[in-house]
Order: sequence, then C-alpha cells, then structure tokens
Amino acid sequence: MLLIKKTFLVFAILILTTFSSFAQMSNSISSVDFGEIKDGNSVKVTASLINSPLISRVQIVYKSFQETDFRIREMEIQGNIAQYQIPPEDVSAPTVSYYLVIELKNGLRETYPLGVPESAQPIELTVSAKSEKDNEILILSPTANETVKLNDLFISISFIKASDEVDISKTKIIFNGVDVTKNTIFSGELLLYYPQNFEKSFNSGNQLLEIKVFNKVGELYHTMQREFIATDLVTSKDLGRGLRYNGNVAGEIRNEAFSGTNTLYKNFGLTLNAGIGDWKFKGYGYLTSEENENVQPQNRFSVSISNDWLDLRAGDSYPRYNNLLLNGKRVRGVDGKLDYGIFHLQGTYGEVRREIEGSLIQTYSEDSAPLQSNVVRIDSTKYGAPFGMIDFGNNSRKLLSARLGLGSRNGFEFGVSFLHSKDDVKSVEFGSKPEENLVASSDLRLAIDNQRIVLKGVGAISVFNSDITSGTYSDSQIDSIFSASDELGNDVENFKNIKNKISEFFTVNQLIEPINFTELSSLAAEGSLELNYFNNNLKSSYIYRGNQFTSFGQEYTRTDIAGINISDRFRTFDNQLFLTLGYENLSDNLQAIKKSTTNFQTLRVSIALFMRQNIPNITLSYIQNKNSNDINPNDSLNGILFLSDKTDRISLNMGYDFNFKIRHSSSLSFATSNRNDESVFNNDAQYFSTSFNLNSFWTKSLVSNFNLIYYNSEIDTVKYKYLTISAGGRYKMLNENLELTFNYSPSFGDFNRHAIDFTAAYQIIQNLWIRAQMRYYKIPDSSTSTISGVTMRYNF
Amino acid sequence: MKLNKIINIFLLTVISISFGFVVNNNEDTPIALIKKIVKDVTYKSIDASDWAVAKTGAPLKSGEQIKTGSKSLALVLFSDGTGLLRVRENSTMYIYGKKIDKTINKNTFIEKGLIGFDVNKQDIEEFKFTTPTAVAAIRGTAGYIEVGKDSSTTVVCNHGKIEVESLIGNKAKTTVEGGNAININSKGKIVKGAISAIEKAKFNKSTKSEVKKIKIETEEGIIELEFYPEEN
Repeated sequence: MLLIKKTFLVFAILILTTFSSFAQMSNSISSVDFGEIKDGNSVKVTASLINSPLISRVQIVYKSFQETDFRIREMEIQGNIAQYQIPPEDVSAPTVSYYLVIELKNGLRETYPLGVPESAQPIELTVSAKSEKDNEILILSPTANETVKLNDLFISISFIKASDEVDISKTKIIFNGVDVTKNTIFSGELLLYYPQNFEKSFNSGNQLLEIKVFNKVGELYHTMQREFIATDLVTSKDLGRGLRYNGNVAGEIRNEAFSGTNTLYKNFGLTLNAGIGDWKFKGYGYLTSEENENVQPQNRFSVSISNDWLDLRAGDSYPRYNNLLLNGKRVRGVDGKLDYGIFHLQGTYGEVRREIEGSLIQTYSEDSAPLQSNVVRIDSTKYGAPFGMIDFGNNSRKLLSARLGLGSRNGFEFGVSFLHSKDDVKSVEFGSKPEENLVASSDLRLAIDNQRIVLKGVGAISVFNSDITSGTYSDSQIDSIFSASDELGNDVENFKNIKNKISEFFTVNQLIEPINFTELSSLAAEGSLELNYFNNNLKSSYIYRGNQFTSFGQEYTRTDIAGINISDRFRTFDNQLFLTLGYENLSDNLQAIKKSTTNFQTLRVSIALFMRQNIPNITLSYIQNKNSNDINPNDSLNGILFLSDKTDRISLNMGYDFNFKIRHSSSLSFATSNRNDESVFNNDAQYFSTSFNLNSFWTKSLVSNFNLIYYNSEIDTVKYKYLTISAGGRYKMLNENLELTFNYSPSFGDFNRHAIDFTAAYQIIQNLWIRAQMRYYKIPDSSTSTISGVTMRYNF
Repeated sequence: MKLNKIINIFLLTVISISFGFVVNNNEDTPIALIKKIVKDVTYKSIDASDWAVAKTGAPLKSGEQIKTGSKSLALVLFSDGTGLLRVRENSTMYIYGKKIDKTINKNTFIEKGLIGFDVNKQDIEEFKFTTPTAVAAIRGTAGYIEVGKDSSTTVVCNHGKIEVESLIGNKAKTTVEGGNAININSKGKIVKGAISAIEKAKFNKSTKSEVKKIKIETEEGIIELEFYPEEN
C-alpha cells in the first residue's frame, strides 16, 4: 500500500512539476532521439512512430553545417520505431540539420517537422566538439562501449597527461548517477574504483560513468562520460570447445486503434552473435504480421560470417560503396568483402525490390476506353475487353555491384566499381514500366602528412533504360529503321555489332539514356581537397552531376547541378571556440535543356562556444540562400519563370548543465527565417520558433524532463501558430527491476493535440524483461488514437 | 644456465638504476594496471618477498613483477594509455617506468615467455622491451616478443617499426619493419627475415584474449573455471 502511495506521489510530482521533451509537430512521429552528438562519432537516430500501420517508409534527410547536399537515407522500420545510424564522417561541429520524410501507405507524404522545406526549416542539432582535454584525462578502463563482466569491472582514470591546472583531489566520479568519489582510490595520478566492492544494488546492463575534473581554484575544468555494458556470467557464455555466443529474443503484441480502426500486430525478433577463434557469426531475424505480398518486405533476416579479412553476409544487407553508386540501400541477397593486403574486393548481388502485382480496376471496349495514362491495352481473350484501367504494381528488381580497390585506406587507395540493376519484365502482369541501369565508377583517396592533407575523388557514369518491356532491338528491326531513314548510312553494321556486344549485359533500344555520351549528361563526379593545419579544417570541393545521371543504388542523388563549395572550420582555445565559414555556388541546366539557368548561392557563418566552465554552450548560425535565374521579369512570354529569392536564417542554440539542489541539463534555442520572393508568385515567408528543454536528475532512480515549443509562421499570408508543453519522467523502483516512464504533451493553437505516453518495464527474472506500453493521442474534433502493447525480451 | 641468471640480474640492476627505481614509495603513480586475468596470474610488489595472486584492476608500480602460469593470461594496460601488453602463459616480466613531465618512459624486462604488444604511436617517450639477449625500442607498432628457454629472443613486427639491439656478441643494431621478424640466439647471432607462418599464427593468437571455460557442478552450485588454451 505504501509502495502504491509512493508511486502515485512520484507521478503526481512528475505531472505537476516536470515536463517532457522532443515534441515537434507531426501526425506520424512522436519523438526522435539522437543521444549524445559528438564531432566525429556515429549517431544512432531512433524515431518513434505514432501510426506505424499507415507508414510505408521513413527517410532521414540530413547534412552537417558545411556540407552542400542533404543526404537522404532510408530508416529501418521495426514495429513502431524507425532507426538509422549516421556514420562518423557525416557528423561534424557545429551543427547537423535534419528532417524526416514519412511516406504513408495511402500515397500521401509528410515531413517531420511538418512542412519542410516549404513552410518549415529542418531541425538544427548542436554537435559538441571533441576537446584536447579528452586526450589529457584518460579513461583507461572500461573502454567505450565495452562489454565487461561484473566480476571484472573496475574503473580507472589516468591524469598523467593532465594539465598542471588540474587539481586531481577535487575530481568527482559519478557512476550511474551516484557520486562514488568517496569510495575511489586516488593513487597518485591514477584513480581506481571497484564498483562490486561497494554497489550492493549494482546490476548488469548499460552503465554510465561521468567524471568531473576541477582546476586548482575549484572551477569545473572538464567533464567526460563513458557508456559501457556490464554483464554477469550468464550473459556471456564461453563453452568448452571455444564457441561463445550471446543474443536476445523478443516478442511483441501491439494493438493500434486509429480513428476507430483496430489493427493487431505481432512481431518476433531474434539476434544471435557467436564466435569461435578468429571467426564471428551473426544472425538476425525479424518477423512481423505486417508482412504481406502487397508491400515491400517487412520481415528482415540476415546471417553473416566474418574475420579480420573476410566479411560475408546473406539475407538483408545495406552495402556501402560510394555516394554516387550505392550507399546504404537494402539488398536481399549476398554481400561480401575481402581485404587482403593492398587488395580490397567487395561484391553484392540481390533483390532491392520485390514484385507487387497490380490490379485491374475496370475494363473498356475499344470505343469506350478513356485517354488516361493508367488505361492500357490488356489481354482481351483473358479479360474479355481490349483495354483496362490498372492500379500498377511494380516489377522485382535485382542489383549486382562490385568494387576492386588497391592500396591502403590510410594512404593512397584507388578503386573501380560498377552497378547493374534490372527489373524482371515477367515478374508481374500489371506493373509500371520495367527499367534497367548500369553505372561505372572509380574512386581515389590520398591522405598524406598524417591525414592532414586528404584528396578525394569519385566519378561515375550511368546508362539508363526507361522501358525494357520489348527487350533489345533485333538486327531486322535495326535494318527496318535505317532503311526508312538512312541516318547512319554505312555505319548500320557497326551499330549492330556494338548492339550485339552491349546487349549481352544491357538492353539496347530507343529508350536508352543518354543517347550522346559526349554531352556528359549522365556523368557525376566530385573532387575535394581537405587541409588540416593550424587548427583549420579547410575543405574545397567541386561537384558535377549531369541531368541524366541515374543510379538505382542511390536514387536520391541531386542531379543537374554543378559548382563549388568552400568551407573552413577554425577551432581555438582548446576546441572551445569554433568559427565556421562556408560559401557555395551551384548552377543547374548543365545540358542547356531548360529555358533558363538557375544559380544557387549559399553563405554560412557560425560561431560556437563550448566552454567547459560554468558557462552555457552557445551556437549562433547565419545562413543566407540566394536563388536566381537569367529570365527577364519583364519578358511577356517567359516572365512567369523569373526567379529571384533570398532567405536569411538565424539560429541560436544554448545548452547548459548546472547544479541547483540537484543536477539539471537544459537547452534553449531560437530560430528565425525570412524569405523574400521577388518572383511573380511573391511567396514571401516568415518563420520563428523557440524551444526550451530541462532534464532534472532528482535521484539515481528519478529523472524528469520538461519541454516547451513555440512556433509561428506566415507563408504567403497563411498564418500557423502553436504552443506545445510536454511533461514527463522516468522512475526506477524495486531494486531497479521496475522502470516506469510517463509523458503528457498537450499542444494548443493551430495544432491542437493531446498526447500521453506510459510505459512500464519489469525484470521478471535475470535478463527476462516484460514491457507494457500505452500511448494515447487525441486531436479534438478530429480523431483519437491509442497504441497499447506488450513486449517480452530475453537476453542470453 | 647460471650465466643466464647472472646476465638477468645485471640487466635488471641496470634498468632499475636507469629508471630511478625507488623502493616502497607508495605515493608514486602506478605505471600500469592489470586489465584482465585468466586463471593463474601472480604478481610481486616491490616491497614483498612472495608472489601474491593478482586481481583484475590491480595497479602495478615500477619494478613490480607479473607471472602467468599454464593456460593463463594477463592483460596489462599502461597508465598513460599508450599501450597494451598481453602476457601469455608461462611468462615472467618486470615492469619499469619513469615519469618525465607528462610522459612515461617504459621498459619491460621479459625474463621468459611471450608478450604480445599493441603500442600507440609514441611522440617523445620511450617504449622498450629488454630480454636477456636484446633490447627492442618501439614506436607505434604491434607484434610480440618471445624469450626462449635458452634466452634467445624472437621479435615479430606485424606493422610499424622496431629498433633492436643485441646485448650479446657483437652487439649489432638493426631495424625490423612490418611483416618481418628477427631472432637473436643466446650467442648474439641475428637472423632476420619475413614473418613465418608459425610466427604469424603466434601473433594472431597473441592478439586474442578469449578463454575457454569449464563448468563444474557441485552440491553448492556451479563453479566456472576460465583458462587460456594451450599455445601450440
């Protein structure tokens, strides 16, 4: 009874005094979690989906402050979350901007936050910088993300390289939120802490170590964090013959009620890691009741075997070649890499899209068939009419890619690669036009002077056939064409010879692009030079992407664009001050097929302060985009195409960790944007948003958070305004075997919604967790949705 | 055999003096610590006469010894984060270090056995291994050093560069680069060449720290014993 009262009291406090975070307006996404974002570290992005049954695909679109292009990457949907791991090379200070694109099964598309890029800006996240002080104070043990046995766990911090300013005796060691300094052994410049000697309630699982270092006048000099995993003897099995394995198995039952429609989901997942000697084996399987033949595969499975020089995978894989060829696209088949000295070989073969049969909606006689793109000729003997209205499906698509690289990845490396992808014409009866694509690519990387000078280049040329239904031209077809029009004269035989050679691996007909390679319309190339001297990271690059460049392995590449990008990031005061300057000048219409050429200019300036004293981290950014074309606005015929607009964006982000009775972590941000459109459409736009977030660490078991968002925009005289206040917290009890989380998030104004999230996770026996989840979303006078589910998970 | 012992004592004395080895100074920062232990690992502190059972996380000060038994393994981590030593089975080593400004000059005396190493790029500090027949100076490399029963020394350099000096015979100096190995026999004769298949296999083994485990069911519960597989 006392326990119930205590629990109720805790939640009453949570509701009344604390608030939650991460709310940006969306009908499909309830929150996006990035964890800690640090310069040069990979970041795992997890988006929680509100109505996952309605979502067919989620993409993350992101770029760092200095970069030219937004990268578009597919997120992996599993149940009601979508995940993607941003690689370390894409994460650089001072900021990373992102938004999500959500495609719904009814064909609609929305973004998170809503309205990007027309009426809202991508979300800007501060990337904290690595400090020289990270090299001064060394966490010797555990290493980052290490999995260590409970019995072997010890914490060791070295101050041997620390500055003379540091007063080692003032150092605070916080382990899982508890100050354990008094139990730490200060052995000269080495600090040692043995948790199992003191922590009676110390459990296996994720652990967080935080070190606060002070200078001789008692000011905070530096803070460091390390995450690692502690396991007990059961979770890391070593068997007699050298085979070791671990993994987990999870099952979920979830009901989603969306506007009165109930859908029940059943998901099952298994992860298995094993090793013997130098060899590692991994297995992964995910089965869901969402799997059906009318959508792309929802189930996932893969098995892999690897060692120091070989990596083979079967099932679903996400191979990475280069940014023009293939990078992170799901392929169901086989994928492998071989590294032998200076030789690097990579190969991938599999299906990137499975067949989905279209459906015949209605049949028509010869006379009654309307002139519509989805009304086509059908088999009259089979369907009783010569024409039909079709809801098109799609053909299955296979992909083959390979790369041979020579050299060292730390010095000079040159590689050649190719990609061939083709739709199976016979895989469906009613499909959209089957296509084929061939890309040849080369890449080089030269790094000298200990990576201070890095020269990179990648080039690719593509061939695309937009309809291979009828296959390759026959010799008689060519003869008939050229007898009617003798354009090639005596070269007809040569043409046939070339066709006969090429057609062994590519379909040759009149729908091939490009027709003329010398126009470079299907060429894409990028070159960059990076200089890292005197605390500067100076990068200059040139890109060229012809308007017909196509790669099925990288479908979102921006084409018909060329130009330069120069940026410099200067860091000083021990990486506490960052100055970033960038300029980009791009133009389209490379093959002169448009009425006019548009020029896109971007200027970027940013100042970021990451002070390690009691001063907030501050990032102030200014971005100016100017787009214009060479059309005369007074031209009576083409004046409507005149383009001239300028957008100024200013953002200010502040983060501050402080102690007031207890430890708090807070952030405050402002973003404003003003677009002045001088075209005839006069699409002027103003936008302002601000948000405040506060996380409070009341005890080791109780953490609360508070979030406030205000958004105000006016786009082409349409006003949109809302306020969101969120409240929530997390409480652990019963010796940390029960974890309760609660969030309440009401929004007011033009976006009116109430959202409540509640989860309870309980460890029944060691390593067996049950988790219950309840979500409630109400849009007044519109809809009410609930998601409720139970997940069982066992780690072995 | 007696001669070997005399040489060892002489070398230890030289290293101790050159590293300003001061007995019983508990205020000194440990220069290394034991990161992981498998089965039978003992150590001898500078003020102790007997060997004691080592525990994970135990700090090691300059002049202290570490010894592994059969099918045993110890991982030793230097306090300045510059490197990791894998002390394989049936090995004995002394660890020496001297702090100069923000660096530690390190010298590990290998009396017998096989020590695998993985050392970060060194700026100015020394990282040396001494054996009864050779001294090896390392700057950012991985490999292993093995001292045979006859005190011969094998230095295997997987990548990076190692400067090796013979302490016996004509005291020749040479350099071993990645992919090569050197053997100095008890007479000081140097044989140099590419890493052999056996040496490569030994190196690969030396980088691993996985263990085998035996479970014994007793009336009072299950006892798990970890052990390191035999070398050959």
